[in-house]
Amino acid sequence: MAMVATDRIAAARRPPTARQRAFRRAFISILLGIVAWELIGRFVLTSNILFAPFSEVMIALWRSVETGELWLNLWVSSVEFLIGFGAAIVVGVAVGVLMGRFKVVFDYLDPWVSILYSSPLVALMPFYLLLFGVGLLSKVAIVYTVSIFPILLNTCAGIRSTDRNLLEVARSFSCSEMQTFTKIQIPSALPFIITGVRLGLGRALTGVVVGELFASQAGVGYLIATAGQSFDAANVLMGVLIFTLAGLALMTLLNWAGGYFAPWRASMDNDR
Amino acid sequence: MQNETAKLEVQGLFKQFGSAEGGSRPILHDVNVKIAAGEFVCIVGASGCGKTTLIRILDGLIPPSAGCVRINGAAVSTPGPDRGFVFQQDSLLPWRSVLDNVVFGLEVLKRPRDEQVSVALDLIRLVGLAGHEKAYPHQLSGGMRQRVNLARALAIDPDVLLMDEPFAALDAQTREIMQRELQNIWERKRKTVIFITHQIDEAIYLADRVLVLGGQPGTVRDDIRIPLERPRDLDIKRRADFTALTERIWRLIQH
Repeated sequence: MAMVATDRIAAARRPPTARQRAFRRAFISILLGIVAWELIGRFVLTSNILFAPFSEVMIALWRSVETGELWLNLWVSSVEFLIGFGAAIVVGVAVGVLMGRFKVVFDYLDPWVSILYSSPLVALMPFYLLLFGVGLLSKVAIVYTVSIFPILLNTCAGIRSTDRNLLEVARSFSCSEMQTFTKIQIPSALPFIITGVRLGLGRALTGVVVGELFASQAGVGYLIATAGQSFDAANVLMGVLIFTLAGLALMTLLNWAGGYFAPWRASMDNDR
Repeated sequence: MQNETAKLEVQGLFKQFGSAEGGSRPILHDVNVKIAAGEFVCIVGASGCGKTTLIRILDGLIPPSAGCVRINGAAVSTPGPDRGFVFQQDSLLPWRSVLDNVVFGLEVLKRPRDEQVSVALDLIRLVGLAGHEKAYPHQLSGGMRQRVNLARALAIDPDVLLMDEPFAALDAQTREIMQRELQNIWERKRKTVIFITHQIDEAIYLADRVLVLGGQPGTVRDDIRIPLERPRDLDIKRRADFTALTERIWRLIQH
């Protein structure tokens, strides 16, 4: 009995691992941020047109959940995001692969990709409104346009940077063109593709927000826009918070997907 | 006997690479070699004498400028499953486990999966990596990676095993262990082996015959039979007849 008791004490005293400590600190940091938010809203920026304390944002969130308004808008934004970003992944990877594999395709497309990658494509939104109207299609188009280029460029870079030693292995084992592609080039490009998708994700979310702020009839961005027009700071901040949480959740999902599709990378990182 | 049943024959082989100035830089000059089935032949030479170029031509990775390579009497110009190539280093697929790396060649040949796995498991055991089937290359030491490299080349059951300085990147101690293991594996498999190295003692220890490559462009300077009995213990490297051979080859490379 005494032995068990001392063991337990020892366990309780065991210093936390670096990971536990980092987690604890992150948690405290977030908590302090929320407290600061609340205090500033209560005592510094007291005008409810300019700012709202955290508690009021939570109340606004609760009301929005109760009326079902939140779910409707979240649904609309999600559909825009999923279609636009999904299409960007499919087309981005396909074109990136073609550019990586065929020099001709690369030479013709590369100038365009370079120009478009570095230009602020959200500026196309007014044009898309004229072209596709205020509904779903204009939002899908803007999400697609802003998120496709990082995916495309990274896929292309991944294919092109395939280790020459590995290509030589493929030749030595008499791989066909197709086998070299599926067994060597695609797996070696996979971490690049995942990085491209991660970069595209942030841009796609921005695309949803900008698209909806500009002109829309529903969506979380629409929620923010209408709240802003009626000087309702709590609802504006709630909308921003929802986008933030969505971004965080999607990033986590992607990191998990990276570990799933490229386990050798994940364990490489852990070994470091 | 050797004249009639050469497993691998190199005839009048020349190789030159185009140089930046538009001319051509000769690498190999009139290389002629005959290797019998089951022979272990080491090719030694200083760096830059064209030994890696030679073995890459034998595998069919690059074409010769003139001359030909025959295996079992048939001329070869591209890589084929009759040859297995063991690369210098870092040629394992980092996204594949040890098992999946070893089955690679069989997968390319579209053999049934259960055959792939049973062949690979046997070879993994043979090279001393049983228990590491699921490990990824980055989790293995340099020596272990080269064992996988060897098992992968053996998996397709090639007629000729081509090894391009496979132990060059290993530390001295690991290298000696690998030399002994390779000898044991060769005793069991009796493949025809062509082994490139710049280490004279490695060549003598492993080989039935040592071909000394030298000159610019490189050519076969001498063809030395190694009369040491097998199996060879690592201690043999300190024996007088061994050191005499080392001395002789060293002098050939120097000139």
